[in-house]
Amino acid sequence: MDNNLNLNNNCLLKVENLAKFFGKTEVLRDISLEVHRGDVISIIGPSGSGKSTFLRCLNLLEEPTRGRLSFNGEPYFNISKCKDDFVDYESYTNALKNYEELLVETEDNLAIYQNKRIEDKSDKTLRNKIEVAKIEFKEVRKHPILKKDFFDKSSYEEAIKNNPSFVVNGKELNKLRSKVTMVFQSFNLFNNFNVLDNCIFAQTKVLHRSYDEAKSIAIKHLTAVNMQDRMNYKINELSGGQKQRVAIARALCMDPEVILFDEPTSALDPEMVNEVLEVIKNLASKGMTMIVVTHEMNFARNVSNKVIFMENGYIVEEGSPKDVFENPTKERTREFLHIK
Amino acid sequence: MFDFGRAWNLIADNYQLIIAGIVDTIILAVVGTLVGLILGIFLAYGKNIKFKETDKKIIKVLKGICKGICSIYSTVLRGTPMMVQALIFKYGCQALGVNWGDIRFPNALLDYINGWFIAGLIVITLNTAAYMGEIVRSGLNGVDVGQVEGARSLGMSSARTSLSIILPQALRNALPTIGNELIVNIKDSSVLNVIAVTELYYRMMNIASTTFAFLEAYLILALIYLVLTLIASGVLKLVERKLDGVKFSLNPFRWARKRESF
Repeated sequence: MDNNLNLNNNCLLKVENLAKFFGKTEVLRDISLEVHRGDVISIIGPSGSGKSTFLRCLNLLEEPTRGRLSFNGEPYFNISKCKDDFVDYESYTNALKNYEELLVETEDNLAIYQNKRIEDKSDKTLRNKIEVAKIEFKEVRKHPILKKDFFDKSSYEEAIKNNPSFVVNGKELNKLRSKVTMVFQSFNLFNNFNVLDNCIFAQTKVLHRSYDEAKSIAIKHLTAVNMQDRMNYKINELSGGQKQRVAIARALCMDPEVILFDEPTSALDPEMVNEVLEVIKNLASKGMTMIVVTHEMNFARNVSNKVIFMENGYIVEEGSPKDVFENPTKERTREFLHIK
Repeated sequence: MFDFGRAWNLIADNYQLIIAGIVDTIILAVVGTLVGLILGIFLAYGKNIKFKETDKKIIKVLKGICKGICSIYSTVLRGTPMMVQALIFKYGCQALGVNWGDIRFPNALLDYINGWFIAGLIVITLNTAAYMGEIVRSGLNGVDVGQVEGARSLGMSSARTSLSIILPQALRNALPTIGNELIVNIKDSSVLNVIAVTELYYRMMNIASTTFAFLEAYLILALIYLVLTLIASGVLKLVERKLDGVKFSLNPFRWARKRESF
């Protein structure tokens, strides 16, 4: 019953107003996206535009600052207001500026008297003045301007009360991550296991499959990525392309509903890129839902059914690959794709 | 001058005592290193505790206490000589009413295992744990962050990740240093003679002072320590190779050859 509802709804992963700050820098600002079953979404954009962070926020490897994420209609992350929203930044920066000026002023004061004393040692009143200036300077340094003084706690708590924040954790988070799994640029295979054990281990521990069942599933997926004759190899004996294929097989073993690819081919040479892209294409043709951060424009054009161009934490342009690559509406997209 | 005849007589007359001393030293070093390693793993995790912003205040305080205890422990134990620690342990226990010398094990496998031996074992273990804490911590910090991310992205819990993925790799990376600690322990167990642990140095000192063949006794002693440490480093090398997947072989020419990668 529940499944049917979801199939009708068809929205597998829903992102609403996602934002992520690292301290003061805003990496993602207000991103909304709907991922349907069977979608292959390519995210393109210059380095540092927040593509990888966005992907890592989706399975909560990175915790977003605010936003709402839901999987299969069930929200797993919901924070509408963060603490930063209730900091009076204007008065904070003003106060900080004033404080710094005061600090420089008192320090200068102290320095002037000290210099005078070096020049003229006979003047005894200077000694007292130096003492006073020193105490003043220390007093100023003792009370720095803190962000929490400008934080409106009561209204923050009220806002939280009206709209309680919710972040999935513990076993449910692990379950979610096995459904929304990830393939990394640097492969991140377990170096202390061989190829086969890499694929088996998480299955037995997370999905509680028996060893034999997990092994047959692992062999099935390793064969699908054409790694069946290297199953007993150690990870450091494989080439980059082979490692990435094993990583994809390892992700597939968890029976994921969405696979997030974080620049899967960026660390590979051109030949290996093709062998990995071939595997991903195969997956796409089998109807696997995928979100791929990539710099391979041909791949984005030919395989995906939706392309997103991101810059500075915003989605600048999104649409079918035909629209984005041939008739981009935004000037910045044209510039990035070298379209005149 | 060194006299071969005297040296030979010394060995021939006292070989039972020397062997007993060697066994004692090996037990002290090996057990001290292994148990110290286990304690050191806990210590390393204790020192590696990270504070999260979302933690409650009580948890933060508990974490702080735990971390503080671990760092004080390793600072103090690494900053004082083991000989002094042994003496403090001995007299401290006496002040608390525990006299290790009174404890005897009548049915023990080796007749010279007594209370002092156990006390020495405790001292060397606690001392090694402090060093092992640092060694394991550097091993843990040396493991690529990607390994954690890879495991977490598959849905593994953080405890499972650190136990099954991170710790084995950390220990493998730290193995040369851990082995170094074993070699240090073989030699440093000699300072435990101050609390009357009957290890190799203690036995040889007694032999030397009864036979008056001091130079011979201590040269033989040095030779025995050298052989013990050489054996220890050889065993460690074998363990390392075994872990790296090279098949066990007694042919030293095969050890030098690397395994073909494909």
